[in-house]
Amino acid sequence: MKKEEIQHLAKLSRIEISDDEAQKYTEDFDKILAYVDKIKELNKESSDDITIGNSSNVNVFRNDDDVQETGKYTENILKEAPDTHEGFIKVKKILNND
Amino acid sequence: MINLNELTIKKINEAFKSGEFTPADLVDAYIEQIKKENGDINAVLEIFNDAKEKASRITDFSNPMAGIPIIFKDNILIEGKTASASSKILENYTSTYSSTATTKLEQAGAIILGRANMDEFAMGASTENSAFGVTKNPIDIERVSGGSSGGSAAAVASNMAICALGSDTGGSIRQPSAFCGVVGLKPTYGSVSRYGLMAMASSFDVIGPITKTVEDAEIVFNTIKGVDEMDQTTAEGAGDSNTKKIGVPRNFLKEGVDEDVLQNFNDSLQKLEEAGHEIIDIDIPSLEYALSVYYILVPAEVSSNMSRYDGIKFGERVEGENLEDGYFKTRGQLLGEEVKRRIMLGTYVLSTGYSDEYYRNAWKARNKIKKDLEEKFKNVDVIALPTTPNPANKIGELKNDVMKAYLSDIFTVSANVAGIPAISIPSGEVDREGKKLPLGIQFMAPWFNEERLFTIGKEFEDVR
Repeated sequence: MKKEEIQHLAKLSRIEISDDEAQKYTEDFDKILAYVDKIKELNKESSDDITIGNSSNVNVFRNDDDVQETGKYTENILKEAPDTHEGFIKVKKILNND
Repeated sequence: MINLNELTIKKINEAFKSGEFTPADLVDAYIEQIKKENGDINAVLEIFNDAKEKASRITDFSNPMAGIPIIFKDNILIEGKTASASSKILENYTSTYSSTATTKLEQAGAIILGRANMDEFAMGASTENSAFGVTKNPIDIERVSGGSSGGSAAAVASNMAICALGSDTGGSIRQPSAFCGVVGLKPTYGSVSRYGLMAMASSFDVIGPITKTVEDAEIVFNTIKGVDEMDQTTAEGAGDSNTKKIGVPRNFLKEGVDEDVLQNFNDSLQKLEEAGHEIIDIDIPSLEYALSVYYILVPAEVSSNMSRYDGIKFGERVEGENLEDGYFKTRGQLLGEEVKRRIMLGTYVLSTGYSDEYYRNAWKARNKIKKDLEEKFKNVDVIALPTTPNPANKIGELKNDVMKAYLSDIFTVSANVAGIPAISIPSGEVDREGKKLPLGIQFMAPWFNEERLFTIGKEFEDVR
């Protein structure tokens, strides 16, 4: 894996990493991918079960009753946000003016 | 003076009933012990100052957990208390609700003493990835306590609480339990609700107990288990207590296992055979692929689950020039090296062009492993393996070898990949530089057959 590829993955993951970090991850990824690559051997000879999920439960529903009172958790949840304004969570501007 | 070293949950319950000491006395004794021992070990991040007051209100001891002090891993929510997952990004986060496990334990009368150190967001096998310093092994403070529930295991081993909760995604309860010489149970996937457990890999995670005895693990498990409408993957299943036939996947033990660990494992099996068990060699070739499955699917789920840490909704934030720059800076500066590694690895295996090759292939292999285990359990009641391929490592020993660190989960990940229950029980010690380091033996059982693990665990405690 190249350093540029690691920087691309970091970008996709919204993580800022330094050049030194990218270099270290390059080596780690090579080792990890070399190991997990053996997964391909197993599937040549076996298993075509492509189910995804680790629970035998299917379509679990519950009634939408016992609804909590409005605003019960609002104050506590807002307290955990880094920046709020009059009951809203505040973020920086998303669109640039130009 | 309460002798903390000789207690079990049942003995405490008897002492409460007879009036020998009160829950408040016991809280005092454990807090004194934490203050004495924690400086060297760094197992406990915070002692809850309302523990004694809560304990003094417990007067009905009909529930075995009434007044029992317990320590929580730092990723299980307790309303109004800090839960940081040992990460800078949640350093000052206060839980806005309680986990189902918390609620069940509080209803039973248990007293939550404090929160325990861990690898950041449960990613790691040594607690060296904690943002708040490594938890040292109480038996040899030059060595790691294991992880990711290292604080919980070290706390129980050094008498800071009679029991603790951990979470297990690939061995995070059993491996530190083996390294610290205590009992660790990873329950069946879905038998304990994940509501209020910080998500790492949602198709693998489960909460479980760390205790000194198998009986204590059983008592805590029976308190926290059960179907929960807040977690739609929870379920119940039928089980039994058959333990006569013990399967041993010998081929899996051919390489990479410390000689003393292998010797100890074989001695343990011999004792069980002398006690009337039948030891049967079994071969499950697909087990060799369990670690690969794990290190593809877990990072994939991690990369999705960790996207919630964006510096906006909760947790800490590093200001950026605009919204997106804020994401990059917050995640880049406040998440640790291992967490970032797994997020990026997950992003890689899920990306276009690689998701078939890695992600889908890993699910196929996972299904094959489950099927193979189901087949083997028709012929054996439990499967035995050493819990870890070696005793506790020195602190820093695996710091620069990521794959070697990952391989320390080789014997534990299979249970998480398949979703079956497994328990680690102390099986003896090995001499290393004048210290007697604990080892663990692991038993695995079919889905929802925790009872088999408790049965064979108690038998093993008698013969070891």
